[in-house]
Amino acid sequence: MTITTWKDQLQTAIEPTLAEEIDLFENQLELKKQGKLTDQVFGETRLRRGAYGQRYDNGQRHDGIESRTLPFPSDGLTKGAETIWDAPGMQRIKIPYGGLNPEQLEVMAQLAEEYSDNILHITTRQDIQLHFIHLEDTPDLMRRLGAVGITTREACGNSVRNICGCPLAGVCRTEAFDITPYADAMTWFLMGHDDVQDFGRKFKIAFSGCEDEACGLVRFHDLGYVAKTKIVDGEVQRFFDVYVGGGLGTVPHQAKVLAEWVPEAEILPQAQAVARVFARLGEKKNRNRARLKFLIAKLGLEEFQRLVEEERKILPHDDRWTSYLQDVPEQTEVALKPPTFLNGAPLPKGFNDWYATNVYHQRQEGYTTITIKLPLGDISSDQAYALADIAREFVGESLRATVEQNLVLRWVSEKDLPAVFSALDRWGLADPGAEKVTDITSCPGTDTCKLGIASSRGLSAELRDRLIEKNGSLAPAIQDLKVKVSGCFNSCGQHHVADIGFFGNSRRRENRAVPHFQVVLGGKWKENGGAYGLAVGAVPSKNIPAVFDTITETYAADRNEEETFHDWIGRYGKKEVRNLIQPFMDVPTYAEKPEYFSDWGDPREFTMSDMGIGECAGEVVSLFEIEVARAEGEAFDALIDLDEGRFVEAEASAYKAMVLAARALIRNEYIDIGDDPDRIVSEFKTRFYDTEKFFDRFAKGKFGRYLLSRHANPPESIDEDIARRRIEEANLFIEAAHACDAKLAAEAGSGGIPNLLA
Amino acid sequence: MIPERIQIKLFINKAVSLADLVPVFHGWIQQNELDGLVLDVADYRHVPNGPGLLLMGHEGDYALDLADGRPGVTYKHKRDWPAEADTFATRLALAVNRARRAAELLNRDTGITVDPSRFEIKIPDRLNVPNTAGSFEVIQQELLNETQDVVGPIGAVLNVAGDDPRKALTIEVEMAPVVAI
Ligand code: SF4
Repeated sequence: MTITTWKDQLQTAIEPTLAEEIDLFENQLELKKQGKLTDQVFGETRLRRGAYGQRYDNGQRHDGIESRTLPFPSDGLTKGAETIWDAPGMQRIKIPYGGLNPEQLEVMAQLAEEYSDNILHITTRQDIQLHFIHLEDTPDLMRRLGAVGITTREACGNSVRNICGCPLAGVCRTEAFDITPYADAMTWFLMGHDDVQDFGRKFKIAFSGCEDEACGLVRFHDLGYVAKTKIVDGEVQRFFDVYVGGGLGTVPHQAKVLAEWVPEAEILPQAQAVARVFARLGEKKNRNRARLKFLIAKLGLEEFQRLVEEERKILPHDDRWTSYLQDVPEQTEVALKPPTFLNGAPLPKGFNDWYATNVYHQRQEGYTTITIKLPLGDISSDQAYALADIAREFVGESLRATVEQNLVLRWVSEKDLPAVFSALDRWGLADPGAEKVTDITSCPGTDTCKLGIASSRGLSAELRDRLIEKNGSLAPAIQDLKVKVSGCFNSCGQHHVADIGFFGNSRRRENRAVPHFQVVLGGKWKENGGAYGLAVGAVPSKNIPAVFDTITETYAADRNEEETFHDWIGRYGKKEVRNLIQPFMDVPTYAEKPEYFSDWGDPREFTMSDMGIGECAGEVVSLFEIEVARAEGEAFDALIDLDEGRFVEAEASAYKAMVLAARALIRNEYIDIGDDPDRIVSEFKTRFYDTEKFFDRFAKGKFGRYLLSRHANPPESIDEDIARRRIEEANLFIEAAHACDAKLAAEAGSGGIPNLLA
Repeated sequence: MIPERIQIKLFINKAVSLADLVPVFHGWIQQNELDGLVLDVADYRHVPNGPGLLLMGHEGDYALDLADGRPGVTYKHKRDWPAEADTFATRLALAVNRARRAAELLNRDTGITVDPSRFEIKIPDRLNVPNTAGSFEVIQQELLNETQDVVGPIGAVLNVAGDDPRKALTIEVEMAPVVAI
């Protein structure tokens, strides 16, 4: 019999349940084509198999001259709301705790070559993504992954996403113990579990081997585990501190301790109990309030803890809670080679720089873990084949993806380092500076993400090139900084926990949109993402490199010995930092510098030319711009108050900033609105919220509600957390006011709304 | 053996600045210069010897590709073949013609020329055309017997992916030298 399909060819290679699931998914594609499934049902089905949307999949793209319809042949067929069947999408591939073997890497490289663009993209949650995938290729793609033990199940959608874990687990010098078997058990226990099918939003879990390092980043996960041990009855026993309700997103939340010293045997049933409470009581209708953090904020931590404990008591017993514990070894991986040491043999050119930054000495003497620094998290198919060969030759199975969008090779015997370096170098994989300032994390941004506002990858590439050029002359303190970029407020680039973070937004000048980045300073990567930075101002995209240099050079000159960037920002003061960036915040006119009106790496004009130049063409600064500047000033005052411990004042200023931004919008329509907050909020509600003019295309009325609910329910007491959150809300409200103003201007100008603002 | 995906690469002889090509590629989309539905520019300048700069499309992708350290204009056809493209030869012809069109545009807009003495065929379709000696044999015969009117007189057909079963079948075609009469 001639084999003509992957289904036939791989039918015995895939685990039967997974094979059935993929067959079912393929059937669902067929049913959708026949019109027997709604967009909503099919959309969620597709997402739960990791098949995500991608930019322009609504069939519209602005090509720099005008917005054009992309004439896909789909003939009206869609794969979700406003998502055209034939439009390419992104396939997310779950890689639990980032662990993968050479064979799996090779298969993904093949898939990238056949169905995508020859690139494997490592995400900030240790997944691997392929872009430009046609939906009809996904069942075969999933079968080919399934044949090497990988599933895409629940990689997207309202489900338990990829479970993150330290890439150094098992080899780390500071861990309590190797979290790998626990992350693995949690992955397979929860995947497809009945109790995780009815969430209102995604649910993210992470494991860390210790409290102090970054690694698993448990503090911004819905559910996080930090390993610890203690001696009980003369024996070392394993426990976890369990955190809940963390998250980045628009307004970041630090996770809170659900329970300390949870015995290893309890983590699966406890997670199941958390899932049940979340599924039962979590928000379902309003996506913007449906993450676990909102449920905990609503119930209060104590009540949530009580509910979880109650739920735990009534869970029917499941052997899987503990059966895996019998197989948890001291060490989960076996080295391919015996431990050896560098023996003074001549070293290849470039080795020393690489050795200084990319080599980690494992706790197992004679072994190292090396980081392969991937620019923007990308590795080509050819590089992936080569890396698979190198892994086989030197370490066997041990590869992991990291949350900093790199790959690591573990268990490299020290004596092999020069040979490994040379082998990697042949393939452009021996770039030094791993996890240093040139190793910039970036989300996909406007390259492929539907929600992207500005080009995070374009900016990251630009900063990276400039930093590499002067790396030798950079002060050591600058070399150690973490830089992270997101294309919008959704924080996929994890900018909140960077020393220097950026997230994309836009501003208007002369009726044209100008790409900007909000500058976010002083986050903490250590301590599992222990503190979030705060936004200090929005700067035109093209001025970001200059702002970066100014801030870092001031830091290098002003810091005390050993002072971290986080501590320096605290000492130097946000007001002074604001003064540093202030000269870069202005946008020149289009006639002076047209390049400010396009983004990094993308020569298309950022605005749509079909917006036209309206009657205000001669007006350099609109009324809105003048008015909203007051709101921005007030939001900044709030930051200063926060900095100086005046939390009540900070909260009040943040609220006032929202009122002023609302007023700025209203004054376009109703010049005599006055200053009374009640009147402003009421007019804002009638004119902008109820009419949905203020709504973000994806976040809907979320930003507007920040003002409405603060106005209706002023907090009874204010602590640092509340003040900080209000400031975040105020900044987002102001961003939304800018977007709303630009949208209304575009509509008034020509009836067209640019993609970026729609 | 009828592949679902065929990629043609026309080598260029000199180094090229991909940064300078970004606006050129956007211009081709704006002016609708290429065959097929072209969607967007994907920029992988940062990946050493990687896919370079791509024009991602619905039926096929164009690129200034840097793989193997040998820059070249590529066109990969990947879906929705026209009904008449139902043999290896007709599919190859379509892919070659589209790659040549991209090379003409590149020459028009940048002065860059392609090497007329050789080109590469890659078949990233492991289901229908795995990288085996048998596949190479069949494709070689097809090339020699069925395609010379499209690609020109062939001098030699070389298997450049070797026998690595992970890789896509990759063939370099050397054109026959033009004999002056
Ligand atoms: S941060 Fe925004 S632009 Fe970046 S991937 Fe997330 S949603 Fe997209």
